[in-house]
Amino acid sequence: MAVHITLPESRKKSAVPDAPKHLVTPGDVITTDTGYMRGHGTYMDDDKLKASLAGVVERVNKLICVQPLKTRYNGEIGDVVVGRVTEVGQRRWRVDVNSRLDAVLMLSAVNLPGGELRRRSAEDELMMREYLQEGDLISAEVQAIFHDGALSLHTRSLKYGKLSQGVMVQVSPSLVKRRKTHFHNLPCGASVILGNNGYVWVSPTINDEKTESSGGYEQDLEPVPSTDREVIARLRNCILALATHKLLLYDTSVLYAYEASRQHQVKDLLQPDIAEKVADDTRQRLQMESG
Amino acid sequence: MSSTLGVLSDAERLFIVHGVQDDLRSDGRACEDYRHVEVETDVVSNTSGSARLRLGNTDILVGVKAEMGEPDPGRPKEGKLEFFVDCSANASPEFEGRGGEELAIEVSNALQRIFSSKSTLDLTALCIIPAGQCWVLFVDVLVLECGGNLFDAVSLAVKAALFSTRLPTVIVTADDEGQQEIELSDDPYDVKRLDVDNVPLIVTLSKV
Repeated sequence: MAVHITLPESRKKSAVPDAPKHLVTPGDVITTDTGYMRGHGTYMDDDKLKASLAGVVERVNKLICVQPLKTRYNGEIGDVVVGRVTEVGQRRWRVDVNSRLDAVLMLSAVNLPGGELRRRSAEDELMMREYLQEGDLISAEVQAIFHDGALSLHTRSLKYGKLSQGVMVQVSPSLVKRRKTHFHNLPCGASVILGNNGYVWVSPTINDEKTESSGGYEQDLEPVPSTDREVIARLRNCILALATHKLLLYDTSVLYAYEASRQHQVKDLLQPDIAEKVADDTRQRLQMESG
Repeated sequence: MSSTLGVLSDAERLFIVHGVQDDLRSDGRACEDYRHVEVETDVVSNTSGSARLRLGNTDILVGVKAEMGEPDPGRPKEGKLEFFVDCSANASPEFEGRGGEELAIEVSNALQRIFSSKSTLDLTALCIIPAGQCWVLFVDVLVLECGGNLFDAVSLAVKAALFSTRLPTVIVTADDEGQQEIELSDDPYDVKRLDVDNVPLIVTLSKV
């Protein structure tokens, strides 16, 4: 058992590369000009437009809104989310998606085993627990939003469904970049699902042929080999390093972080100074590619 | 919303168990590796000694206050150590209200057991006047965040805090009537440190 010991050093202030332009706290006056439309995070007090959240003021033509720095996940239709089942109810499951309310997954919104197309019967209701229990992880898409803000999910495609072996990482929802696809089979030997809600799932590479007809009903419970396990652990630590240093998560940034981390041991990536180095290397490489 | 700590799917649990068999945890550590530890001493100004320790997501703050008191009648030449552990409600959702008391008492008892042994800390060093006055060290442990491995973190923090404890040097003079007078040195650098070389650290091992 090795313990890594270093001499005392003063705490480093994390350097912010681009300082945000207009930071506000709740109650701050944004503007006294009445010509603007109020967006999210603002309210009118007398003739002044004030912020109701702590965040960055964004202005699009005549619309002023405040983007919060730290917030729960606010779902949009079409988002891919990774969630954990908290409750099995009547014809529905309640799923925790890091939002203000648990999302709902209706029985009619999942695929039946074998891909059958039929009306759900009473037996199906009783068999719900056979498919998803409390604690199970699923990947799903947001189908609709209820009036109270709760999300309605569906797993109507074969790529969604119950998740098998792997590791889940929780990051802030605002760090997951909106892309065309959130399912990535990385060349390093693992699959990553970047949920818009901040839940990231890292697992061994998913073979597309195997899951053709199962849609998550069959679970692969074979022991994962050590090489794959190392890749998964390394990816997990890289994702956490990027999240700690407030870098946006998408397939390219995760891959660059993985490559930057290869010179270190997997467990060393948990040390803050090494994590910072990996994050800095990734940021530099991304800036070089774009700039 | 009910607490969702420690709820895992069967597949996730199996993945972890197989990992432990291969001596590779989900974060790449071997089974016997510790997470990153940060120790800072002398963080609380109005104490005789203090330490703040971060072990992964666990955050512990320990303060040591030295006061003069009377020794135990059965042990006239020894000082005393009193432990108080507070699992703050901020540390974990389970500690809401009085939920943290049970765990706090458990930790406190563990510390008492450790320090009741003579080989841990030489309590005779805390004696001022045998059967008269002695130093009583009040060790207050505050659990700011509970992210696992509480016992290990607490024992580390207590050792660090005791190491940083500075007791003013005591000068005992006998005045004219034969009464003993206790004087504390005014010099802030004229202090006595404790020998914490033999203070043990708790290592928690779990069987999966």
